[in-house]
Amino acid sequence: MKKTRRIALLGLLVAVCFVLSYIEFLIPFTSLGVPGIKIGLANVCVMAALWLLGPVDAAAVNLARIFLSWLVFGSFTGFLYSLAGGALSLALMILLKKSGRFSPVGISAAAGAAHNCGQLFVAAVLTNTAALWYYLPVLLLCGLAAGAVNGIILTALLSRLHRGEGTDNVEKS
Amino acid sequence: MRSRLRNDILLISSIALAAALIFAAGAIFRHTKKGETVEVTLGGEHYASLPLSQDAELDIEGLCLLKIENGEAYVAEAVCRNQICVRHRPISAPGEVIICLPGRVAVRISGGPDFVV
Repeated sequence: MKKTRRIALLGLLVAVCFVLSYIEFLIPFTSLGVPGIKIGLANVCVMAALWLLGPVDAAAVNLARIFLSWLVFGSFTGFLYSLAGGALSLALMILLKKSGRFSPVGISAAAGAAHNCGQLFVAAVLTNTAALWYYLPVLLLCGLAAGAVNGIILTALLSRLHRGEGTDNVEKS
Repeated sequence: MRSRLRNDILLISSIALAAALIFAAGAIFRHTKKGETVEVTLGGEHYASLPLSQDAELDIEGLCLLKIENGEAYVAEAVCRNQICVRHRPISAPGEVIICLPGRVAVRISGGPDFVV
Protein backbone atom coordinates (compact mmCIF):
# COMPACT_ATOMS: atom_id res chain seq x y z
CA MET A 1 0.00 0.00 0.00
CA LYS A 2 1.26 3.43 -0.89
CA LYS A 3 2.48 5.54 1.99
CA THR A 4 0.02 8.37 1.42
CA ARG A 5 -2.88 5.96 1.20
CA ARG A 6 -1.78 4.31 4.41
CA ILE A 7 -1.54 7.64 6.22
CA ALA A 8 -4.95 8.66 4.95
CA LEU A 9 -6.50 5.38 5.99
CA LEU A 10 -4.90 5.61 9.45
CA GLY A 11 -6.23 9.13 9.93
CA LEU A 12 -9.66 8.02 8.84
CA LEU A 13 -9.66 5.07 11.21
CA VAL A 14 -8.51 7.22 14.16
CA ALA A 15 -11.26 9.73 13.42
CA VAL A 16 -14.00 7.10 13.17
CA CYS A 17 -12.59 5.42 16.24
CA PHE A 18 -12.82 8.62 18.21
CA VAL A 19 -16.37 9.34 17.07
CA LEU A 20 -17.38 5.83 18.16
CA SER A 21 -15.75 6.40 21.56
CA TYR A 22 -17.75 9.59 21.90
CA ILE A 23 -21.02 7.95 20.88
CA GLU A 24 -20.46 5.27 23.48
CA PHE A 25 -19.65 7.88 26.06
CA LEU A 26 -23.16 9.22 25.51
CA ILE A 27 -24.90 5.88 26.02
CA PRO A 28 -25.41 5.14 29.72
CA PHE A 29 -24.65 1.43 29.79
CA THR A 30 -24.06 1.65 33.51
CA SER A 31 -27.79 2.14 34.02
CA LEU A 32 -28.29 -1.45 32.86
CA GLY A 33 -27.02 -2.52 36.25
CA VAL A 34 -23.53 -3.69 35.40
CA PRO A 35 -21.09 -0.85 36.14
CA GLY A 36 -18.31 -0.23 33.67
CA ILE A 37 -19.77 -2.29 30.85
CA LYS A 38 -19.76 -1.05 27.27
CA ILE A 39 -19.61 -2.57 23.82
CA GLY A 40 -16.30 -0.97 22.91
CA LEU A 41 -17.32 -0.14 19.36
CA ALA A 42 -14.10 1.80 18.90
CA ASN A 43 -12.31 -1.52 18.84
CA VAL A 44 -13.90 -2.21 15.46
CA CYS A 45 -11.58 0.49 14.09
CA VAL A 46 -8.55 -0.94 15.81
CA MET A 47 -9.39 -4.32 14.35
CA ALA A 48 -10.00 -2.81 10.95
CA ALA A 49 -6.49 -1.33 11.14
CA LEU A 50 -5.12 -4.71 12.14
CA TRP A 51 -6.80 -6.50 9.25
CA LEU A 52 -6.31 -3.85 6.58
CA LEU A 53 -2.84 -2.61 7.53
CA GLY A 54 -1.04 -4.55 10.23
CA PRO A 55 -0.11 -4.85 13.92
CA VAL A 56 1.97 -1.67 14.12
CA ASP A 57 -0.79 0.45 12.57
CA ALA A 58 -3.40 -1.16 14.81
CA ALA A 59 -1.28 -0.24 17.83
CA ALA A 60 -0.98 3.30 16.50
CA VAL A 61 -4.75 3.66 16.09
CA ASN A 62 -5.32 2.17 19.53
CA LEU A 63 -2.82 4.50 21.22
CA ALA A 64 -4.22 7.53 19.41
CA ARG A 65 -7.74 6.58 20.50
CA ILE A 66 -6.73 6.13 24.13
CA PHE A 67 -4.72 9.33 24.19
CA LEU A 68 -7.51 11.35 22.56
CA SER A 69 -10.06 9.98 25.01
CA TRP A 70 -7.83 11.00 27.86
CA LEU A 71 -7.54 14.53 26.50
CA VAL A 72 -11.26 14.92 25.91
CA PHE A 73 -12.92 12.93 28.68
CA GLY A 74 -10.06 13.87 30.97
CA SER A 75 -9.65 11.16 33.53
CA PHE A 76 -6.20 9.81 34.23
CA THR A 77 -7.47 6.63 35.87
CA GLY A 78 -9.66 6.07 32.84
CA PHE A 79 -6.55 6.50 30.73
CA LEU A 80 -4.71 3.83 32.71
CA TYR A 81 -7.66 1.46 32.47
CA SER A 82 -7.90 1.95 28.71
CA LEU A 83 -4.18 1.53 28.26
CA ALA A 84 -4.06 -1.77 30.15
CA GLY A 85 -7.19 -3.12 28.50
CA GLY A 86 -6.18 -1.89 25.07
CA ALA A 87 -2.66 -3.29 25.26
CA LEU A 88 -3.77 -6.70 26.49
CA SER A 89 -6.58 -7.09 23.99
CA LEU A 90 -4.48 -5.91 21.04
CA ALA A 91 -1.64 -8.27 21.96
CA LEU A 92 -4.09 -11.16 22.08
CA MET A 93 -5.70 -10.14 18.79
CA ILE A 94 -2.33 -10.00 17.04
CA LEU A 95 -1.40 -13.43 18.36
CA LEU A 96 -4.71 -15.07 17.51
CA LYS A 97 -4.82 -13.50 14.07
CA LYS A 98 -1.28 -14.61 13.35
CA SER A 99 -2.18 -18.19 14.23
CA GLY A 100 -4.69 -18.07 11.38
CA ARG A 101 -7.01 -20.42 13.17
CA PHE A 102 -9.75 -18.08 14.24
CA SER A 103 -12.34 -15.92 12.53
CA PRO A 104 -12.73 -12.20 13.34
CA VAL A 105 -15.70 -13.02 15.59
CA GLY A 106 -13.74 -15.45 17.73
CA ILE A 107 -10.71 -13.16 17.91
CA SER A 108 -12.83 -10.17 18.81
CA ALA A 109 -14.72 -12.06 21.52
CA ALA A 110 -11.48 -13.22 23.14
CA ALA A 111 -10.07 -9.69 22.85
CA GLY A 112 -13.13 -8.29 24.61
CA ALA A 113 -12.59 -10.66 27.50
CA ALA A 114 -8.87 -9.80 27.58
CA HIS A 115 -9.67 -6.09 27.58
CA ASN A 116 -11.82 -6.45 30.67
CA CYS A 117 -9.16 -8.59 32.37
CA GLY A 118 -6.59 -5.85 31.84
CA GLN A 119 -8.93 -3.21 33.21
CA LEU A 120 -9.79 -5.26 36.24
CA PHE A 121 -6.12 -5.88 36.90
CA VAL A 122 -5.41 -2.15 36.92
CA ALA A 123 -8.44 -1.56 39.14
CA ALA A 124 -7.24 -4.22 41.58
CA VAL A 125 -3.78 -2.65 41.72
CA LEU A 126 -5.05 0.94 42.01
CA THR A 127 -7.62 0.24 44.70
CA ASN A 128 -5.54 -2.49 46.32
CA THR A 129 -8.56 -4.77 46.62
CA ALA A 130 -8.38 -8.46 45.88
CA ALA A 131 -12.18 -8.48 46.28
CA LEU A 132 -12.51 -7.30 42.69
CA TRP A 133 -11.76 -10.81 41.46
CA TYR A 134 -15.33 -11.65 42.21
CA TYR A 135 -16.27 -9.38 39.38
CA LEU A 136 -14.04 -11.17 36.89
CA PRO A 137 -16.54 -13.83 35.71
CA VAL A 138 -19.12 -11.13 34.93
CA LEU A 139 -16.52 -9.07 33.08
CA LEU A 140 -15.26 -12.07 31.10
CA LEU A 141 -18.74 -12.98 29.91
CA CYS A 142 -19.67 -9.39 29.08
CA GLY A 143 -16.36 -9.00 27.25
CA LEU A 144 -17.08 -12.11 25.20
CA ALA A 145 -20.54 -10.88 24.25
CA ALA A 146 -19.44 -7.35 23.42
CA GLY A 147 -16.43 -8.65 21.51
CA ALA A 148 -18.57 -11.02 19.48
CA VAL A 149 -20.82 -8.11 18.48
CA ASN A 150 -17.75 -6.15 17.36
CA GLY A 151 -16.48 -9.17 15.48
CA ILE A 152 -19.73 -9.48 13.56
CA ILE A 153 -19.57 -5.78 12.68
CA LEU A 154 -15.96 -6.22 11.55
CA THR A 155 -16.84 -9.20 9.37
CA ALA A 156 -19.57 -7.19 7.67
CA LEU A 157 -17.19 -4.26 7.28
CA LEU A 158 -14.37 -6.34 5.80
CA SER A 159 -16.59 -8.11 3.28
CA ARG A 160 -17.78 -4.72 2.04
CA LEU A 161 -14.27 -3.32 1.91
CA HIS A 162 -13.04 -6.31 -0.07
CA ARG A 163 -15.65 -5.53 -2.67
CA GLY A 164 -14.46 -1.94 -2.96
CA GLU A 165 -11.56 -0.65 -4.98
CA GLY A 166 -8.12 0.28 -3.83
CA THR A 167 -7.94 -2.44 -1.25
CA ASP A 168 -6.21 -4.87 -3.56
CA ASN A 169 -3.55 -5.81 -1.03
CA VAL A 170 -6.04 -6.49 1.70
CA GLU A 171 -5.52 -10.01 2.81
CA LYS A 172 -8.52 -12.25 3.03
CA SER A 173 -9.85 -12.47 6.54
CA MET B 1 -13.79 -22.08 7.24
CA ARG B 2 -15.47 -24.94 9.11
CA SER B 3 -12.45 -25.54 11.28
CA ARG B 4 -12.28 -21.83 12.07
CA LEU B 5 -15.84 -21.92 13.29
CA ARG B 6 -14.98 -24.89 15.44
CA ASN B 7 -11.91 -23.11 16.82
CA ASP B 8 -13.99 -20.01 17.55
CA ILE B 9 -16.50 -22.05 19.48
CA LEU B 10 -13.69 -23.75 21.39
CA LEU B 11 -12.04 -20.41 22.18
CA ILE B 12 -15.23 -18.73 23.34
CA SER B 13 -16.46 -21.67 25.37
CA SER B 14 -13.11 -22.11 27.10
CA ILE B 15 -13.18 -18.47 28.20
CA ALA B 16 -16.76 -18.91 29.37
CA LEU B 17 -15.70 -22.05 31.21
CA ALA B 18 -12.85 -20.15 32.88
CA ALA B 19 -15.38 -17.54 34.00
CA ALA B 20 -17.59 -20.27 35.47
CA LEU B 21 -14.62 -21.84 37.27
CA ILE B 22 -13.52 -18.52 38.77
CA PHE B 23 -17.08 -17.92 39.88
CA ALA B 24 -17.29 -21.37 41.50
CA ALA B 25 -13.90 -20.99 43.16
CA GLY B 26 -14.93 -17.60 44.49
CA ALA B 27 -18.18 -18.96 45.86
CA ILE B 28 -16.41 -21.81 47.65
CA PHE B 29 -13.64 -19.56 48.94
CA ARG B 30 -16.13 -17.06 50.24
CA HIS B 31 -17.87 -19.63 52.37
CA THR B 32 -14.71 -21.06 53.86
CA LYS B 33 -13.31 -17.64 54.66
CA LYS B 34 -13.82 -16.63 58.30
CA GLY B 35 -13.92 -13.13 59.65
CA GLU B 36 -12.37 -12.03 62.91
CA THR B 37 -14.74 -9.66 64.62
CA VAL B 38 -18.48 -9.31 65.08
CA GLU B 39 -19.45 -5.66 64.94
CA VAL B 40 -22.83 -4.68 66.32
CA THR B 41 -24.40 -1.34 65.52
CA LEU B 42 -27.57 0.05 67.03
CA GLY B 43 -29.35 2.80 65.13
CA GLY B 44 -26.26 3.25 62.96
CA GLU B 45 -23.96 3.77 65.93
CA HIS B 46 -21.33 1.42 67.21
CA TYR B 47 -22.69 -0.74 70.01
CA ALA B 48 -20.25 -3.61 70.57
CA SER B 49 -17.39 -5.59 69.03
CA LEU B 50 -16.85 -9.23 69.87
CA PRO B 51 -14.25 -11.73 68.70
CA LEU B 52 -15.78 -14.36 66.42
CA SER B 53 -13.49 -17.03 67.79
CA GLN B 54 -14.97 -16.92 71.27
CA ASP B 55 -18.41 -18.25 72.14
CA ALA B 56 -20.52 -15.49 73.62
CA GLU B 57 -24.01 -14.15 74.15
CA LEU B 58 -24.98 -10.51 73.90
CA ASP B 59 -28.30 -9.01 74.82
CA ILE B 60 -28.73 -5.95 72.62
CA GLU B 61 -30.90 -3.57 74.64
CA GLY B 62 -33.52 -6.28 75.01
CA LEU B 63 -34.19 -6.04 71.26
CA CYS B 64 -32.42 -9.18 70.18
CA LEU B 65 -30.13 -11.79 71.57
CA LEU B 66 -26.91 -12.31 69.63
CA LYS B 67 -25.10 -15.60 70.02
CA ILE B 68 -21.63 -16.54 68.83
CA GLU B 69 -20.99 -20.26 68.62
CA ASN B 70 -18.25 -22.22 66.86
CA GLY B 71 -17.04 -19.18 64.94
CA GLU B 72 -20.50 -18.28 63.68
CA ALA B 73 -22.79 -15.47 64.76
CA TYR B 74 -26.56 -15.57 64.72
CA VAL B 75 -29.54 -13.92 66.33
CA ALA B 76 -31.21 -16.38 68.68
CA GLU B 77 -34.13 -14.28 69.83
CA ALA B 78 -35.74 -11.05 68.82
CA VAL B 79 -38.71 -9.11 70.11
CA CYS B 80 -39.91 -8.08 66.69
CA ARG B 81 -42.90 -9.65 64.99
CA ASN B 82 -41.44 -10.93 61.73
CA GLN B 83 -38.36 -12.70 63.17
CA ILE B 84 -36.40 -12.29 59.95
CA CYS B 85 -33.09 -11.88 61.76
CA VAL B 86 -33.71 -15.01 63.78
CA ARG B 87 -34.35 -17.02 60.63
CA HIS B 88 -31.21 -15.68 58.93
CA ARG B 89 -28.56 -18.37 58.66
CA PRO B 90 -25.46 -17.98 60.89
CA ILE B 91 -22.83 -15.67 59.44
CA SER B 92 -19.05 -15.97 59.54
CA ALA B 93 -17.53 -14.52 56.34
CA PRO B 94 -16.18 -10.96 56.31
CA GLY B 95 -18.83 -8.57 55.05
CA GLU B 96 -21.83 -10.74 55.91
CA VAL B 97 -24.57 -8.94 57.81
CA ILE B 98 -27.70 -9.79 59.77
CA ILE B 99 -30.05 -6.87 60.09
CA CYS B 100 -33.01 -6.41 62.38
CA LEU B 101 -34.89 -3.51 60.86
CA PRO B 102 -37.48 -2.90 63.59
CA GLY B 103 -34.74 -2.79 66.22
CA ARG B 104 -32.33 -0.92 63.89
CA VAL B 105 -29.70 -3.47 64.82
CA ALA B 106 -27.00 -4.58 62.39
CA VAL B 107 -24.60 -7.42 63.06
CA ARG B 108 -21.66 -7.40 60.68
CA ILE B 109 -18.60 -9.63 60.37
CA SER B 110 -15.35 -7.77 59.80
CA GLY B 111 -11.66 -8.49 59.81
CA GLY B 112 -9.44 -10.36 57.43
CA PRO B 113 -9.36 -9.41 53.78
CA ASP B 114 -12.76 -8.15 52.73
CA PHE B 115 -13.75 -10.65 50.09
CA VAL B 116 -17.41 -9.87 49.81
CA VAL B 117 -18.11 -7.16 47.30
